[in-house]
Amino acid sequence: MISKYAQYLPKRAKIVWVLDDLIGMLVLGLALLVLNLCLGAQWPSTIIMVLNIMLIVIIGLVIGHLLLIPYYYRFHRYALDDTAILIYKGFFLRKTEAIPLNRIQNVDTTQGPLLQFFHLKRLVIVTAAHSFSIAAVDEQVAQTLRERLILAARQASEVNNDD
Amino acid sequence: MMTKSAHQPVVAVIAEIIMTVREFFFVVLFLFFGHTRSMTSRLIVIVGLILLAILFGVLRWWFFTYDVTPHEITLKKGVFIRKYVHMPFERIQTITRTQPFYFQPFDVYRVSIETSGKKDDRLVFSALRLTQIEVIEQYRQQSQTKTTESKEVPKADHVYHIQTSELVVFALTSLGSLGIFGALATVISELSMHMPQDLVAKFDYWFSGQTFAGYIIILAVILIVSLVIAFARIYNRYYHFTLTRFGVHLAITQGLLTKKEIQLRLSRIQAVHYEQSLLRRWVNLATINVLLASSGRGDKEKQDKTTIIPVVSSSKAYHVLSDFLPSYRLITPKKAIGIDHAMFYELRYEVLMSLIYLTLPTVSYFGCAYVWHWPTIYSVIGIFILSVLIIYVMICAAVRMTDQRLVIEQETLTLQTSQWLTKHVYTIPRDKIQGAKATQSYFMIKSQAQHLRVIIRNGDEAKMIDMRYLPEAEAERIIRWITHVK
Repeated sequence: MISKYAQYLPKRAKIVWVLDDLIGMLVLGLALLVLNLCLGAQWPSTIIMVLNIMLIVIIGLVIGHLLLIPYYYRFHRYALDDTAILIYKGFFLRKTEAIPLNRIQNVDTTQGPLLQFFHLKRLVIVTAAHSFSIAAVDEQVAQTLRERLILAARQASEVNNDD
Repeated sequence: MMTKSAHQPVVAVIAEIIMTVREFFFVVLFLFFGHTRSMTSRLIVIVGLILLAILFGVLRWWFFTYDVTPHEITLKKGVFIRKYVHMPFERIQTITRTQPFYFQPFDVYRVSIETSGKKDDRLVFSALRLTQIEVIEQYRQQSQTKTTESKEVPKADHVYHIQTSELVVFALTSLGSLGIFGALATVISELSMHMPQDLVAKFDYWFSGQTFAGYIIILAVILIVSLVIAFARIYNRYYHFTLTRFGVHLAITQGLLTKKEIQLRLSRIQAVHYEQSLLRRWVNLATINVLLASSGRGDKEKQDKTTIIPVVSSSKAYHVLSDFLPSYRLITPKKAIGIDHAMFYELRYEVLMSLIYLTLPTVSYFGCAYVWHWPTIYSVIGIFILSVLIIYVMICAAVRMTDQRLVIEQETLTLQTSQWLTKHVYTIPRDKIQGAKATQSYFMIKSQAQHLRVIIRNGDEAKMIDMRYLPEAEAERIIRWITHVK
């Protein structure tokens, strides 16, 4: 059951994902052109064929991802309550991840050029064993979340529990 | 009280330049020797590299800034992709400083700050002055101060020695021989490369002249030899195995030729792991391991679990353990868990997965066999092996569903599952659980089932324990229990 505090990512995230995919397709398309126009005459035809198939399959996957963006967005939510941070993904394959706030080791934010342009940040939450991320949150929200999480983590100081 | 972001000392540029040179070294090597080049073009390559390295070094240094507050260190780095790393002082495990020779005239150190977190969860400064390091160390000490522990050497509270007969049984029931078999084959093939050619030829002649019975005998000899080697290895490793508890510490000593000693703090134990292979199930024996939180870097043996009792009668296991792990609630879960018909769903899942994975290879095989007229006997053998494999997978899945148990008692979660017919029971204190994950496919919605994954720490990595086809409400209850931790 999805928590009542669950929130969607900012709508801009969709644009970033679309741009990401378009850039990826552009690069792959260029690779395809170079492969067939410049190298086609020199390299053995079997290798060219195999590379072509690989590139086309990858482009197909990227297009698939592009088409599924509304789906990913629609079912990607996160919730922060007093005890845990929860992340929800998917509809056909539903995943709920829960991390007790007290187990959080630290919270990092990263920002590529696209995210930077749209004032979004990627939030990575690290525990002693694993890490997971929230794909894109508003810069402001990222800061607030980070501070809250760090505060909770500090209250549950590992050192004090060490006996 | 935020301080102003600071750069590293300018000397750090040297370190950054050296790093850049290292990164581009192979590219440059390729450009340098790749084709027959004239002296001038080689010179251009070298000068280009140096200029590039200086440019990158300066850029990296310029974009690398850090803040130190009494609570945390914050790093900002990256020329194209800005990366922010925050590290609260409470979390710091070690601060390592190293000083390469070219830093000595400047009195600066390379500093690496690690937490007990994951491998890449650390801060690395290319160069810091001693005074800057001292500030960091001071803050770390302040935030990690705790009541002093008594320094006197404690008396052993409990001691466990392995009996020779137990060790022999343990070694005999260890199925390590299959790996040895492969190792032996490698050694033989390696040896034959270095042996005189006529000797190899003679052996080949003798080997190819064998009858079917001869091959069986050779195989049996190899098998026996590998069993003996496996036995000797385990005997050597666990010889004189002793487990001792001193207050809140455990000490393990073991080994005949290579002696090994491990000391660990009880609070570092993430979970107690009871393990019982199919063979040991038949003879009612079990092995007890513990999962530890350690960075385990560069130490291959520490990566996996640490054995604390190699072999013990399965009925007495927890009784023996209670002396060594007094704070643990060790119980043997009795009641099976899972939705109605969980076994059916699990088997259905395994069949579907097998079909998905096997369809493409099988169809392509038969396609090729048809086109190139491969002998039918191969297909028959292939189908036989495949069916055996699928049946084995089904048996394992059935055993797993029968073995699956879950109990919450006070502050302890006990999970029992089996993998490839080996039974595993994990006893996990609530505060050692790092996270949980519930998954549900579209087909599981009607039956209100969820898979639950409990994440704990083992060495430097995450250990996932999966419980399949739990009732949705039960999975939610467990996640709630896990997240409401002190």
